[in-house]
Amino acid sequence: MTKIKLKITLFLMLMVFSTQIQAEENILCIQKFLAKTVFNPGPSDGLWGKKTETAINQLISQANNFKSPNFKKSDAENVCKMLQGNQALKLLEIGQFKRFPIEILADVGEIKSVTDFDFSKIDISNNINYNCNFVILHRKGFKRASGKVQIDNGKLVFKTHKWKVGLASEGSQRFLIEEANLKLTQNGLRGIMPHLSYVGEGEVAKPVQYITLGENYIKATKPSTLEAGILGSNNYIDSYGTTYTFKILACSEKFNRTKKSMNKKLLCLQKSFTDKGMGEVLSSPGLELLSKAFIKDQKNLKDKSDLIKIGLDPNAVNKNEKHLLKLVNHEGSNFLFCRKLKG
Amino acid sequence: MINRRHFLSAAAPALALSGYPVHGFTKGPVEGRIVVIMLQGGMDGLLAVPPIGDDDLFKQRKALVASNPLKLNPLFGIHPNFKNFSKMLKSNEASIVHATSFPYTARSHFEGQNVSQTGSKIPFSINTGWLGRAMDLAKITGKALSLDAPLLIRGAPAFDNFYPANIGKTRTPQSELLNLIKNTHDGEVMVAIDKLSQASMNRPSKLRARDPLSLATKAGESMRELNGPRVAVLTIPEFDDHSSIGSTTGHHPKLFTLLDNVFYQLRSALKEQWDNTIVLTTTEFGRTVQENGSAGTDHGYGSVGLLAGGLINKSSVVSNWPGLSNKNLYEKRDLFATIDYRSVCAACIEAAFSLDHDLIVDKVFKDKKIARIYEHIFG
Repeated sequence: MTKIKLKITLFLMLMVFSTQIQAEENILCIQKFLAKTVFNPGPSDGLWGKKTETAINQLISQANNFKSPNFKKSDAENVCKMLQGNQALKLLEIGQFKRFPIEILADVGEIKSVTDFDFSKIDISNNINYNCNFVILHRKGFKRASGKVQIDNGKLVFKTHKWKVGLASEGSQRFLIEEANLKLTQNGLRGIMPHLSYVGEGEVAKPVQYITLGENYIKATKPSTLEAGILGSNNYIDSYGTTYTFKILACSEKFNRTKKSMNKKLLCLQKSFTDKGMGEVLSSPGLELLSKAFIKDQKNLKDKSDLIKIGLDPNAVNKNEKHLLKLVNHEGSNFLFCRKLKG
Repeated sequence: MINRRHFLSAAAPALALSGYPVHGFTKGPVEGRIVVIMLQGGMDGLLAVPPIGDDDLFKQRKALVASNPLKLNPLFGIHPNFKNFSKMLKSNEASIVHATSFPYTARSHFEGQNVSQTGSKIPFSINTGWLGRAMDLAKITGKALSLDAPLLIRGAPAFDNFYPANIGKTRTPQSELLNLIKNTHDGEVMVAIDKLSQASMNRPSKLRARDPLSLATKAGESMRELNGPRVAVLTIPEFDDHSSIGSTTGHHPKLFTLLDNVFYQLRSALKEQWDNTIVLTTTEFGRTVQENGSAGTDHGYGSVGLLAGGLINKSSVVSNWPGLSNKNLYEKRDLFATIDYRSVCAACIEAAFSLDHDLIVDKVFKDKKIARIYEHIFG
C-alpha cells in the first residue's frame, strides 16, 4: 500500500515538474523569437515577467493594427505555437520596426474644402436661374478674370474662366469651376472663392488666395429687369491690399421657353423627324400649350408627367417623351440645339 | 564646373510628371500613383515631428521646439503648421517614418541629393533614379513633364521632356545647369534639350514664376485622369536653414505650412484617385540636434518622412526611436537614422506598382539587404 502511494506521489511530482518544464520552454520560445525583433523581452530565462508580457503584446498588437491581444502567462503555449506556425515569418518581419499608433485627442476637425461656407443664416435667392458672364476687375479697371457662370437656384456654377496671371504659371482651370462656393442673395454674392494673383517681372509666385465675398456689395444704379443682387459690384480686398470687383453681367434666362424660341427648336426637331420618317413631334396647339405653361418656369422638367398635366396629348408625349423634354430643357442658343440634332 | 551657389540657385519649385499609360501597354484595373515631394536643403525632422515624450529633446534643443505641437501619441507630436496633414493622420490617410535617412552620412547637398534620387549608397555611381528604374521594372511606359527632369525619374522608358509653363516665358536657365542636363542624356533627348536651351537662351530673360501649390494642383489634375501620369515629382527648395530656422513661427515652419498645403492640394485635385495614391517626402539628410550659433541647424543625418494617400489603411508613426541623449546621437551631433529610407521607397513602389519586394530591392535598389517595411505603412 505504501509503495503504491509512493508511486502515485512520484508520478504526480513528475507530472507537475514536466508541466513546469514545458511552460518554461514555451516562454523561452517566445523570448527567443522576440529577441530577433525590436521588442525587448528581457533576458531569455523562461520566466514570464512584465517585459516578456509587454513585448509580445506590443508585437501582436502592432501586427493587428493596434488591437491588443492581452496575452497572459497561461497563453504561452498557444503563443509559442503561433510563433512557430505559418505566421512566423510575417511576424518576424513586422517585429523589425516599431509602429506607434496615432492617438490624437485634440479636435483637429475634418478635411474640408477651403471654400466651405456656412450659408445656414443667409437668405439665398433659391429660385433664380440664369446663364451669365462675369468679370473680375482690378481697382484701376484692368480685367483680371472673366468667363461664364450659371446661376442655378441661387448657386453660382462656373462654366469657364480665364485669369490674367502675368508671368505666373497659368492658372489652373479647376480653381473657380471646382472650388468656388458662392450663392446669390438680395444683397449680392456671399461665400468663398479662389483668387489667382498677378505676378510681374522679377516677382516671386504667389499662392492662390481664398476670398470671402459679401461684406461690401454696391447695388447697381441702372434699373434692370434682373432680380436684385445679381447686378452690382461685389467688392473685395485681396491679401496684398488691392481692391477688386466681381461683377455679373449679360445674363440670359437659363431656359428660353418663349413661343418664338420653342417654335424654332421644334422646326429643327420636326425636320430631323421627317428625315427619319418618324412623323409629327408636336402639333401647333401642343406647342402653344407648352410655351404658355413654362415661359416663366426655370425648373428642369424631369419626366412626362410634367408634360401631360399641362394638357398635352398623352399619346404624343408617350411617343416622343425624350425629345420633348430635350426641347423644353435645352440650355443655350437655338442654333446650338439645331446643330446638336444634325450632329 | 558647377559650384555650390549655382547648384542651389538652380533649385526652384518644380514638377515632373511621368508614367502616362500607353494604349495596349498597361493593364490591371487599379493603377497606383506615386507622388514624391523632394524637400531640398535638408528638412529638420525634429522640428517637424518632435519626439515630445523624449526628455532629451528639451535638453538638447529647447529653443527649437514649437510651443504647441499637436500630440500624436505619448512619444511623438507634430508641428502645429501641419494642419491638413494632422487631419489626414486622424482619418488614417497618412503616416510618419521617423529617425530615417537614405544611407548617406557625409552631409553634402550635392552627394545627398544624388543618393536620395539614385537610391545608391555611393554618390554619383548611377545615372538613373530609383523611381525611373521602378517604372521601368513595372513596364510603365510614358513621358515626363519638366525641362529639368529630375534624376529621380531618369531611367523610365520612352522619356520625353516638356516644361509645364510656356517655354517662351521660362526663366533662362544657367548655362552650367543646361550643360549638366544635356550631358546626362544622349541621343534624341540630348539634341532636343540642346534645341530647347538654345531657343530659351535666345529669348529675353523672363521669370516664369512657379509656386509648389499650383504645381501640386496641376499634378493632381493630370494624375486623376484615367490615362493620366502615374508618377509625379515635386520639388520644394529652401530647407537649408543654417540661421534663424524658427520654432513655432519662422522660416522652417513657413515651409511646413507650404508642404501641408501641397498635401491638401494634391488630395483635393486627385479626387477619387487619391484612394490609389501614395505621396511621400524625401530629403537629402536631416539636421543637427542642437542649434548652432545663428539660431539655425546644420547638415545632419536622420530626419523624418511624411507619407499620405488612400493606399494607407492605418495611420502610425513608424520608428525604431534611437533617443536623443548624447550617447545615442550619430557622431555626437545628429539624430541616428535607424530606418533606411529606401525601405520606405520600396514599400511605396510595392503598394503603387504591385511589384514584389525582393524584385524591387534587387532590380531597383541593387541591395537585397533592404528590409521590407510594407506591412508597417500599408498593412
